[in-house]
Amino acid sequence: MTVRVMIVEDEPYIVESLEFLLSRDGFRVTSQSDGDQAMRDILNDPPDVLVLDAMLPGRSGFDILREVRNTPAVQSLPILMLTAKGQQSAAEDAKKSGVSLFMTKPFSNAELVDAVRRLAS
Amino acid sequence: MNPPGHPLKDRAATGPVSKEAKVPGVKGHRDPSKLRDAALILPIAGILLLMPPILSLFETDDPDAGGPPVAIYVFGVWALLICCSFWLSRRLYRDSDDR
Amino acid sequence: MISANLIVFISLFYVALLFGVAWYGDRQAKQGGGAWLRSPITYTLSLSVYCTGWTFYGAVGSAVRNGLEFATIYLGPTLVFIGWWWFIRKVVRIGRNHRITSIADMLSSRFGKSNTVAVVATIAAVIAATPYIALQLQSVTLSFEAIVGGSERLDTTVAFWAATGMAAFTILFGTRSLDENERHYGVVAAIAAEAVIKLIALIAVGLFAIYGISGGLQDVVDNAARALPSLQEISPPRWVTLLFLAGAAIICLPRQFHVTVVENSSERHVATASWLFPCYLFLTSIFVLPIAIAGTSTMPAGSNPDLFVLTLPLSNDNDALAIFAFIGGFSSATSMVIVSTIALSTMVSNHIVAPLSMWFLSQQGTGRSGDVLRVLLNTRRISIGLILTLGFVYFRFTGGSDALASIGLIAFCGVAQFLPSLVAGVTWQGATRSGALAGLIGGFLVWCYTLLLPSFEGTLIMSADAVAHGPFGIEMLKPQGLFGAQDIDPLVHATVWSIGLNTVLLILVSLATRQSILERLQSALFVNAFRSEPAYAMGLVQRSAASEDLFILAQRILGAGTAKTMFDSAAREQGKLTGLPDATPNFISRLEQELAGSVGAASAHAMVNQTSGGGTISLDALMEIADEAARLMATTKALELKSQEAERTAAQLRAANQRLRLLDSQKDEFLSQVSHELRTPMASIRSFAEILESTPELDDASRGRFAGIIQSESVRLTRLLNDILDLKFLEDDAQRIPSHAIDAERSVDKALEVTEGTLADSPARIVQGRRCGQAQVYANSDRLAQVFINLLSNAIQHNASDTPVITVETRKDTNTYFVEISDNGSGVSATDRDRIFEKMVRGEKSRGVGLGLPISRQIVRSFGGDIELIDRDGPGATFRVTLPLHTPDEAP
Repeated sequence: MTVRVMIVEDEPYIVESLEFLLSRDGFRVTSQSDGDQAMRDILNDPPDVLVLDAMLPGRSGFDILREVRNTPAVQSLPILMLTAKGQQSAAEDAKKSGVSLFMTKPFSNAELVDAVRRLAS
Repeated sequence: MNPPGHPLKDRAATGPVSKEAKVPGVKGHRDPSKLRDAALILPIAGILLLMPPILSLFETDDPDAGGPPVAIYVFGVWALLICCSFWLSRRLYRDSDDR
Repeated sequence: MISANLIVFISLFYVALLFGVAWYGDRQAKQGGGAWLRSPITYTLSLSVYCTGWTFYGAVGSAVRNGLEFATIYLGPTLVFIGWWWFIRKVVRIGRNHRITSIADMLSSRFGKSNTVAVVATIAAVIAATPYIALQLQSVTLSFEAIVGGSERLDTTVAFWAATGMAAFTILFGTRSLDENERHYGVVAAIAAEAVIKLIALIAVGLFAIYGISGGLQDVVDNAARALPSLQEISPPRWVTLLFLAGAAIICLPRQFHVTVVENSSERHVATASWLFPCYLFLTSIFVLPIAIAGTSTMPAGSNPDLFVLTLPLSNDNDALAIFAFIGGFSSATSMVIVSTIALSTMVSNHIVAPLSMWFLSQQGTGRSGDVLRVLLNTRRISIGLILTLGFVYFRFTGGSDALASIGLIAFCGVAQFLPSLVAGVTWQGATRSGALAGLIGGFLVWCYTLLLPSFEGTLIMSADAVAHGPFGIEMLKPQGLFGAQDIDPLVHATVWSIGLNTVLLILVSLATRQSILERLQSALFVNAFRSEPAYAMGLVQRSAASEDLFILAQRILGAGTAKTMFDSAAREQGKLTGLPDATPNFISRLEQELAGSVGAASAHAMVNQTSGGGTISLDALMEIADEAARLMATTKALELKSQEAERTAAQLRAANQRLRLLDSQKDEFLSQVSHELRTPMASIRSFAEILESTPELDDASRGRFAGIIQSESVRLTRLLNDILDLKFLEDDAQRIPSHAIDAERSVDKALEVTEGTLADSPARIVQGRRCGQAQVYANSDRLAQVFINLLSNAIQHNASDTPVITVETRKDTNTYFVEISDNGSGVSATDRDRIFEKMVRGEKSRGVGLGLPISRQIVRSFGGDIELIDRDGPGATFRVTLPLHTPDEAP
């Protein structure tokens, strides 16, 4: 059974690198660049792990995070949040909203794949 | 004059008078501004009571009426005004004394 | 029949008694005793000088003729006195503060110590009082005739001797000295005694009418309506008019003003009089009714109702009561005449003779020690004689044919002309001297024309025909029906016209004229009588004089003794043991007030000014002190302004604070944005670099692609860093961009060329609208092109439309060059509108470099132009670049 990972990110190059890394590691990867569309996809067909960018057009990463945590069907979905904003406050906000793991861009490939792997198990 | 420092007795003495006086707002004489207001209202009340619209109510043309009502009314109001003025001036007098 | 000799004897005895009382009162006052002379009871009794022979005899006549109407003459004063707190109290206070000597003095003092006002008021008062004094002579004559069964011969003799006797009494006791504040204790004592006698006499006759003639009180009440049908109804216009006139008379009649204000020694007496005087009037009026009822029921038809008070006891053979009644009437008449002549002679000597004698004395040189005091006392004596003579002459002329009441009412209406000026004077600061004069003269002339002249029934000035049909037959000018008024009571008619015109003139002229500075000071002191201290205001008039001159002046007016006492006490107050006090402005003003108590405000002012060479009042000082209310208002306003200012400052601070917070948060946002903008390409670069490094088996195509991504993201990073530096550089020193006169249109062309080059595989398209072709501006062509490129690429990047269309238009007017770049995207949201030009702020949903717009704006501003987002119909956003056109002669 392959683990399905959904990437929600609007920077195409980052999506490209993440897809490359995660599929190389055996995950089934889908991606979405728009927040609203991503939320609909999550509810229709929940992935096993969600990799979420904090800043998105449409709904922001934080909005999605809160909505997932407030929806019983997908409440326990493991979420890895990525952000390009360097402040400490963003990390704290994310933790308060119930994020599983939090990473700052630029990230180390190894750490990222490791994190997804941990969330998947 | 009521001796000061006898509030109960004072109230008992002035209560009925203030009712008779038909001066609105005068309850106790301890508030000088109310007294002054009453002193201002009294002549106005007198003018209204002694002017035609009210006065004309008491006119009659019955020759056997005996005591003419309008005369009795005029002198009655007159006496009442004198009583009110007596009551008021005594207290205003004492007021200015205090000052 | 009572013999004439007996009556004469009793009268003489009574007069001697009065002399005794007056003499005793004067002596007591001089010795500092006689507390009863300064008691509220004496004060109230002296007020009853209001009840004259007209009351004593005429009230019964009036009740018989017009029913209840007679009561209005006493109800009016009742209402004024129970409302003492409103008006009388203030007038009394002013009278004492300013040492007022008469009603004419009061008006003159209020309207800038104007002698003109005083003269007009004096003349009016004398004219109005003359018929009234004649009325008293008539009542004495009539009563004398009635009691002795008179003959024609007695007619003028009685009046003549009565007038002579009254003149003697008045001269003896009314002009003993120029008293401080014109107080005459002896006269007041006599008046008070007469007040008691006339009241008891009237009550005695009343009781006799009830119990001696009618069958007791019940019988009188039962008979009232039948005996006096007129008692049952009232005539509203006359009722209201009489109430008004009587209310006005109680303060405006010279003699009433004299006893109420001038002779007043304490404000508390007014408080007592506020109920005791109405009580006196009540008793007087209520006993009039039984006399009238008994008279009409028992006396033969055709008997004069004015004399019922006498003829009732006479016809019932009660001679003793008749004599008592005669004495009562005699008392009423004499007291009125005595006080009237004192009041009038004071006015005449202070306001007419004093200014004249001053003028004479100044013609003879001030060095001469002319005794003004004696001159004034003598003129006062002469005026008393003159006034009584005038009354006697009037009595001879009119022949005493009028009913008593109508003569009295003529006088009432005449003196009521003082009322508008008096009321306005103490309540309205804006009332001016000209207004008062216009009102007084206008009202007084109308009164003469509509009431006084017609009362002569054609014997004086106007013929009977003119009175009946108007002068020269002009009906419109008929004295008792002006402008075609018909069937209107002459008294109501005259009152409405004269008082109406008086008031209107007073108000209109006051509004149209300005007050002199002295008037302003006086008006403030009068209107704010309870708040301003006159002693404080005294020093306001800046005058200087030699103390010696002032002393001479004071000696002349006050007499040597009084003057010395006053100067000595002033010197002691100034700390001097010997010699005269310094003539400070304060002392001069105090002296003026002392003199005013003897000769009136206007004369005293003129006299002191003659010695001190006029005075000035500093307007600042006046504003500061006189008008406390205005000052309070000014303070409040200033406070209000200050608090408004403080509020404004606070608001500014709040705004600044908010702005700082905003800037602070913008700085945070800026840093966060910069961080984001830098980290995003960095993330790609690092990630792909790690992939390349850790994946040796990667195929060439991927390897090439990943390396390409790394390269392009590196370029993006570099550009970003350049932008940040650019912005910093521009903000630090915008003027340093090297500029020349260039054609801005060429920069637009260049920008279009560059941008179109990047659109090769994009659906976006650029449409050129109208172009102006050529526009000379002073700028840097590369930087300008950078701005346009930036705006164009923004329009393309942030365009959500599937087929982005960007329109470029340029135009110019005389001074300015415009470039408008619009797109068909979603536009800029309202919240972003204000912020998009801030550093690093992007639209909520847009992506890309956030520094483009701020940089562009900074560049354009350094060329003297601007970029703004303008409102336009339809979708999309329109940015407009404006630049000033460059003309060659304009130095860069």
